[in-house]
Amino acid sequence: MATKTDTSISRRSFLKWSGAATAAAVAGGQAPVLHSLAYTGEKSTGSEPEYHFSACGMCLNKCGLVARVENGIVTKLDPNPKFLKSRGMLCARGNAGTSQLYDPDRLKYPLLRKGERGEGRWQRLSWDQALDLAAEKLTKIGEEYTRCGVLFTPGSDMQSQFVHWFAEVFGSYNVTTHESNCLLSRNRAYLDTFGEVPFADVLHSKYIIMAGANRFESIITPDSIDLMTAMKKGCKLVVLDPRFTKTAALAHEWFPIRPGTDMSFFLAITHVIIHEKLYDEKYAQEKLYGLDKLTEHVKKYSPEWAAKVCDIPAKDIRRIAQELAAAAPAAMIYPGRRTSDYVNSTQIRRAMAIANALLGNWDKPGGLLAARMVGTTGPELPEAPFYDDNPDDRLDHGSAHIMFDEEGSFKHTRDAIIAGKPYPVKGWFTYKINPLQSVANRRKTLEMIDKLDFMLTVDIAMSDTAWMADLVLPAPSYLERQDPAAGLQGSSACACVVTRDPVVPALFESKPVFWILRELAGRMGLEEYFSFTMEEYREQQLRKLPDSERALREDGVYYNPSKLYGIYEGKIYKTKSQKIELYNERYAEMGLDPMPVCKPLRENVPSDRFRMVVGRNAYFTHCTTQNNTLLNELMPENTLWIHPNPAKKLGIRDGGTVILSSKSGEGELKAELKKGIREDTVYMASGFGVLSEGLTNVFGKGACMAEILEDFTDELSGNMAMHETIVKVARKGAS
Amino acid sequence: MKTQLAMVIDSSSCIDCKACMVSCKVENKVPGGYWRNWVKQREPRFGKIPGAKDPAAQAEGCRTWIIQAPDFDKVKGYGDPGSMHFQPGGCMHCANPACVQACPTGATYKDEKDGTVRLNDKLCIGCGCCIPACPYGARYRHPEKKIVDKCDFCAKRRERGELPACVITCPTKARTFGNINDPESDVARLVKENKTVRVVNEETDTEPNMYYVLTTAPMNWPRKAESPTPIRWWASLAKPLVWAVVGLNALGVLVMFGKQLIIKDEETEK
Amino acid sequence: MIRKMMVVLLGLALTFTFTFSGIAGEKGNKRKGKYTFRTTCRECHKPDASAKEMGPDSKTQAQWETVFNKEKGKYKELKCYKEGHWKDKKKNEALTEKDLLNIFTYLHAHAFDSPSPAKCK
Repeated sequence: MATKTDTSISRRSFLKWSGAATAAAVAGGQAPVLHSLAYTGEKSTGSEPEYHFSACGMCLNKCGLVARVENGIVTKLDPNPKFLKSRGMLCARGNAGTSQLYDPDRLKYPLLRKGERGEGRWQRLSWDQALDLAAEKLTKIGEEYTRCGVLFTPGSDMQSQFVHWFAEVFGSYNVTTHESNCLLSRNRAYLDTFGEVPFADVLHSKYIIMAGANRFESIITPDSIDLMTAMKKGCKLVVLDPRFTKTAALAHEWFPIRPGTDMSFFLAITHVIIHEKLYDEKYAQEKLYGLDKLTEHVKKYSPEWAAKVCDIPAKDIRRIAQELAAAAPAAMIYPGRRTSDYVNSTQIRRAMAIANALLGNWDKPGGLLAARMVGTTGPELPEAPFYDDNPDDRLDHGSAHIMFDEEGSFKHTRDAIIAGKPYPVKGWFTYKINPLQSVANRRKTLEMIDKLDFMLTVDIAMSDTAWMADLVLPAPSYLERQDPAAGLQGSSACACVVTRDPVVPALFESKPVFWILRELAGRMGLEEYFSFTMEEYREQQLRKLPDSERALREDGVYYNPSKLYGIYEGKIYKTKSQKIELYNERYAEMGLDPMPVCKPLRENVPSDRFRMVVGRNAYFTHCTTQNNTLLNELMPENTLWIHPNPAKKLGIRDGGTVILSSKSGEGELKAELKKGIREDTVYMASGFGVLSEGLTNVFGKGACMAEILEDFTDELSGNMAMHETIVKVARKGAS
Repeated sequence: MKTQLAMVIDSSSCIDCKACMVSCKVENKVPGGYWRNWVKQREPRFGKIPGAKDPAAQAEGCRTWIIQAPDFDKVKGYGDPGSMHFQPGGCMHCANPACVQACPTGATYKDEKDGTVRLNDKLCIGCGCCIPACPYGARYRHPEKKIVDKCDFCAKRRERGELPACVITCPTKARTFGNINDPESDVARLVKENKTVRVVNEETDTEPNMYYVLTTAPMNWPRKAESPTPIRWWASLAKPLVWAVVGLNALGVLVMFGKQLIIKDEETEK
Repeated sequence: MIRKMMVVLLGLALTFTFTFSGIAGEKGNKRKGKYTFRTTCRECHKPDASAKEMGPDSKTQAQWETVFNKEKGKYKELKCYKEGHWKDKKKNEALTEKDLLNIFTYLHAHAFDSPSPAKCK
């Protein structure tokens, strides 16, 4: 079976499915067949467009899309109406994909650093020169410092698995991804409560509390879209957020909670549910572990106590707990995604997970869903070698209580590289990830880079990370590549598979990272591990899904009709007690709090300072799309959100320049006076204040989040803690 | 009954992601700094809201304030004056379009076949009279093409049987599109099943073909259509003339003449 | 801080003793264990192979402890062990105690109910 899917679609079939599909895919679907309405005047000239299926690569959601190609140019990206996970939509970023493809700022050929780091002097190399150099440098570091002397940092991309595979066969355990700056604390908390990380069945929920998440701006499919659909069907949304996000704006209730105190709120919710006996006792007896201990534990956490901690009135907490329990099990505390906020984030999320457990919503409609069967298979690859001279473990091993073996912690890895202990790391390979902008404490990242002998970056544009590298290799955008298949979980929407074939040939001299790694492997005596083609790889991935080839060709997506609810019926939970752990035995054994204990904040905000919080908007994917011409127009620079009252005291006017400083760095940006933020909190968007002059739209604009944020971490998971930074704000020119 | 293409918008679904704006911009090659469509917003009013359920915050000494949107089941729309509201929009393809009246050359016209307000690029002299005439600011002077560009409900896409770019891409499907005169269409059904409102300036109701489900906000932004007096008589006089001249293949001369005349008019207006 | 560290160390020590009622008294190398497991066991225990598919998350930590218990380890009763399949393929020698400890460490660290459950992929 050949799995190369020809994704071009004839116009006739395009019309056929675009007509048939939308009605099925879109809630309240409108029939898009417009033949009767078609404009019958003068026909446009030029050749007929071609249509190709692909999957969006502007963020991690991989929304199905249809690319229109006219005379060899991608002129438009539209949603694939058959793609259920995104509910047949494409967001602003997805629509701006053409601007990534045709960005004049794209990297065009291999570049070697000539001047000092960050000076921006480059020499153009041929691919052979570049690959020979990279192979030589990596081999040398491997020989001198062991194979673990190279750190690999792939971003979220459909080809990142080949960077992991290369690291494995090269012999380094030191691989970090974006995850330790993002969601590890949530994963930790849910694994340690339910034994797995859930998907939220937002669509069928009747009551959702969203804390530490901003689903209408930070788009996750299908949750963001399902949230609106659910609300239209009567689901109530309560948002806790120190700032008035668009999610807060559209919620039924918004509470500007004191940052970092969410645990108190959820312990109080648990208190009410337990003490008013609002849970299902039979369910609790069968499924929950440690309810008696929890009952005792939350006695002191009354709504009246919590109100003083979190700034939410006790009667509201009590009422919300009652409303939530009344809607259970089709009710949830939304688990969230980026939870890299506080030093006790895992325990905060544990408090939320425990409240969910009491709602009995696991594996049920409107609750938290277990992973479904997608059906893709890991390809059979040759056995990776073992290097006996390697150190026993990762560089960051043991630096937090319960780390994820494959993820580690970027922060702790960085500290270890700077210290040169427990062993030196002298090489860094990054692929489509931008830690210089996204990881707290930029100065430390620069310090870490100073310790390196060789840094290689593969990316589409000259990100700040590429700007600091020794060798920069140009990668094509997602529209110019052949990719492996990707299995996706879409909550109640679907379990599905997508893939990519080139919509247009790669521009300039750009080469996919798969090709780069295969070339490197060939130069380093590792060719046997990269002797497969992308077609063969994909064929292996799909070998158990015989219908997938046809579905991918005809619909751009394959669905696995696997079981959605009741997966756990008759099964044990993957926890130590084999039940849902309100009380975590492993934590107890390790001397950690087996149930979340509310402790004072690491640092209170002094009256002349602010807590800085960060968060997404719908236009930018973390620190990657700010320079995109189409998206940049929606937000040309970032601003500092500050409440008018403290602004007045500091003499700051709307649009005036302020200097923002912390213990780790400082930046200058314009103030935006907003009543929709607490008086003790400030906020800024990410991705500005760049170092790279190769990002022409954003260079010289706004301030850099990573420069201001201090690098605290979650004690349990080693995840970054990005809301622990206390900042000073001053009007520029004020003494 | 004649076809009248229209858009019905449920603005309470809008999450202000701006997908419709970017999609439109790419589809219609709208230059940087300009838009054919938009998402407007009503700013929230913080603090104690009249009629809000429970503004009990201060009583308990919490530094908190609550914005409560009305319950969906009791909804009369997001009419609560305290809550933020997003409102997608664009050219409303009015039944009584002021821009058509203001156009001195007949470049802007109401398409007989589908009821859209269209622009004939070849006839447009870029005078810009239609710009102040539109109460919605839906027209802009294209910096390269030297014409006054506007939304055409994605005519080229419709030729191919595709939905307008802003409609197909919308995550929450806030925009619905179709023939309002066809009782079987989704737009007609929505208008029939719901109370709808149209955003108009009371002094110049151009009878827009954009309907908002239940209610929407902000409502007070359309301006009074303005069409300079000389233009009005010129337009009425010149339009038949222009068409005649087009027939005679002597458009260029008249365009030059018209351009001079109009530039003068614009200056006198200032 | 020091107190906290003590608690952690104590905690870790406890886990350690708890874990190593297993095959030996010293710490295994889970990465080496993964390699040895894959090169020795996977041929038969991979999906669709002759024996049952087996990876770290096929059993709980307690179950792996039972399998690899030094005195009464159930592994000795396994058919494939008795038939002599547990050997270093390159050297054609039986696996050493150290090898078994490594394998156990790997399987235990990623067991079904471990902090990071994993398949053998």
